[in-house]
Amino acid sequence: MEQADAKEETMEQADATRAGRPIVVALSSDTMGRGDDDLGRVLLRNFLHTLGEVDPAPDTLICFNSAVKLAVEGSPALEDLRRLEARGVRILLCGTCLGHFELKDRVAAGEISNMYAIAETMLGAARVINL
Amino acid sequence: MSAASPTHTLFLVPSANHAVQGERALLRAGLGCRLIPVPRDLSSQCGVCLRVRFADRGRTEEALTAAGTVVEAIHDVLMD
Repeated sequence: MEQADAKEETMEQADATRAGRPIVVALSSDTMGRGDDDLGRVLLRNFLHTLGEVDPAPDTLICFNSAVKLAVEGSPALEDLRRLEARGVRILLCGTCLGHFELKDRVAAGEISNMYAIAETMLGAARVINL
Repeated sequence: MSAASPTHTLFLVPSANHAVQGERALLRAGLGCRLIPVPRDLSSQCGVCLRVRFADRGRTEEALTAAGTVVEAIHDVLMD
């Protein structure tokens, strides 16, 4: 039953991609889930690595709040983000958030963006997957 | 046709905490490593492992042993 659901989900995602409407993954922190931040950081690294291997890849990855820390020099997720970019995934980084954490001059993947682009990307998406 | 040589070695550990501890130990020892999900062909369960260059296999094993990191399995693999 679960397998059937997963297959249906994959087909829906493929349909959305075919229709030309992007799939967007939005990261709101540098952890995945709540409960234990150390575990959450490992899980998010795992997630980003896996995104580089599965289909369909998202069209856009949006990082805001502490998620922008993933895209700066020294981040352990950098290699996976660059791999996603090489696959054609656009990575948008919240400029306000980079400024808040004083990381604007350390961006090493993705592009510094603003809330207009982020909002338009979300509103134009076939689906937004929020983590 | 001979099988391709492994490029990396995966050290499977019992938990995410062990993986983080092992990563710190390897970085302290000057060994490059990455935490990655355990590949599906090695385990169907959600897990995290340490990936190092195959050339660093021996030194990694020594560093993890010295740090007291528990290793459940070691796999030599061909990866990008």
